[in-house]
Amino acid sequence: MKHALLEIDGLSVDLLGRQRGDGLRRVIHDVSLTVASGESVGLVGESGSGKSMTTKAVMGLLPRGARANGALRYHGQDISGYNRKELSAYRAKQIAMIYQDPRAHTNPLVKIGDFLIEGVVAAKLMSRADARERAHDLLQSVGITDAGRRMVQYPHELSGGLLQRVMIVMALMSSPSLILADEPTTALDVTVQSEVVAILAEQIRDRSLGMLFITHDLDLAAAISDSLAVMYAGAIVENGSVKAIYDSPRHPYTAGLLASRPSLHEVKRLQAIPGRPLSAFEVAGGCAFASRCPLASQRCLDERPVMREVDGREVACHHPQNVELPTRRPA
Amino acid sequence: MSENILELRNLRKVFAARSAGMSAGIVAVDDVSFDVVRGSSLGIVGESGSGKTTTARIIAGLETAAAGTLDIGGESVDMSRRFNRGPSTLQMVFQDPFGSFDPRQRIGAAIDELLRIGTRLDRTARRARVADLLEQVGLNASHAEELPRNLSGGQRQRAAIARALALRPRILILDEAVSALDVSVQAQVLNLLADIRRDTEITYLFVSHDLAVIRQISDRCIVMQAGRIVEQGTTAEVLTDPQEEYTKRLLDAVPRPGWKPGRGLAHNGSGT
Repeated sequence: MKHALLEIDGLSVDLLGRQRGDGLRRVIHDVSLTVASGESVGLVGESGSGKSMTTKAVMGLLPRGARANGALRYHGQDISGYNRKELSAYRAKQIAMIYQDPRAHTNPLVKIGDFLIEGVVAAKLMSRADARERAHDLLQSVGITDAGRRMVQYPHELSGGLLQRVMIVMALMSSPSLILADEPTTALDVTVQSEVVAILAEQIRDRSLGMLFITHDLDLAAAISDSLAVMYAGAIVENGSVKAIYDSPRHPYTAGLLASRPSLHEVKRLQAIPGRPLSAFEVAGGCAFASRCPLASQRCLDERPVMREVDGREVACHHPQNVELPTRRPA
Repeated sequence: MSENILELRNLRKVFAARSAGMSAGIVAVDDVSFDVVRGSSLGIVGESGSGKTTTARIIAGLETAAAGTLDIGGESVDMSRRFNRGPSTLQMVFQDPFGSFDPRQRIGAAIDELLRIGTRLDRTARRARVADLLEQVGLNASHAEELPRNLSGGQRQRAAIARALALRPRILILDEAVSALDVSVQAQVLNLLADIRRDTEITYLFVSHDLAVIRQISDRCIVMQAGRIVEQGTTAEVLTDPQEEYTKRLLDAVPRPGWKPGRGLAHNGSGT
């Protein structure tokens, strides 16, 4: 059987509470997700939904005291079975991350060129000279024409958009097969976001990489992904192709997210979702979304819905057929 | 008959150069003029460095101007020094309500403080007014006893709006006031702001980078780039039939169904 590039299978994560004496707090609840080679998956959720914690689990970077259950498989191999050496090889070579704030992930005292080659040289993947050449080529491929000059500059000499392109290059240096992009364009202006997203999508496509693209912006995720997974309170509530989910959501939370965005084309009263987003540990029994859901029934309060297939996608809802479709907006 | 509550003419702001090599300083706002009709809502939209926030802060009296004149309610206002315009004239709501509340002061006390300074209400009347204000923004009287950190982001922004409305200002400046909120909560606050404007005669100056939010909240809008106004008009016209290249680029960059992200949209964004 052919294995997916990344398989997250029934992942649950518990964190230690912030104060001493607090018990474990559940932040991820039974998340299953696959990313195939060359496939781009958009992981969408609001604050506290657990989307960033999911990427940390995939990287094996959960905070101290965290307890993870379930399986994380890379090419069919369980990551939790890796020893230290295998884990660091996996992080150095197979998988790469791009974060929201490039300035927080660069060293202000290290020149761009030295920063780019540091990882691959330290992991003994290539020589210093080869790494420099590769960095130079990659900078050009993301549209940085004066790559030689940029490599001897410091991070503060580059704008946010340019620095984020450097981070894309950093991610590509070791020729990974999987990219985790965590809100990579959230801090950028819209015109710069458009450019960075275009470059990222192009690199992913040209190199047939798998990508997990994490964002709070459903429109953005839909524009660059093949499939979408919508997270709420630490669990995936709807998972399927962009077209299925975007055109006809079957989970009331997805539908609510689509309806609550203001439109550029018309002014009308927004259909806000009442209440606020919850974290997984705030949810007692039943459906996590029940307290905010217009369709909630007694069953939703008593019984947690499991993921099942409805109209060509997976959805965790007891009443998927009653979800009101958002009115179509002109493209 | 419409009447301008605010008239700004030829505003210019220069920030001092940080290093000796840049003698001229940085021109943040250059020759910006606009009027705001009483009871209307003006959107100011632009990317980072466009001068939109600086313009708002100068109008609010938080920054000084190098040149220009400002009339609020028919009275000339001195923009050459920092000056409180008065909480019953103008109030401001910021992006991060965490930064604008004292972390050790309860929400009710923060609002009460303003009422104590700005009104002659006695303690009981002030308490009732705090409860009214909290209810007006969709909170309730029990939230008065909470510390800012015990409220969610959306609740905190509602409390910030309640406090800004305490002395019934004629103008409310909202600087990226919904940008930090989750989408589902952002819609609640946008609806709230629409309700407040319907029920009162307040005027909004709404600064945002988000074109869809500007469309929702403003009657007229100004598009700023590099310190200058590049386009202005009714929001519906500017955003559905933009005349300027820059406005078109901004609109093209907004993710939407069927959107293809494009290279070459960022003009100044690539930096040095």
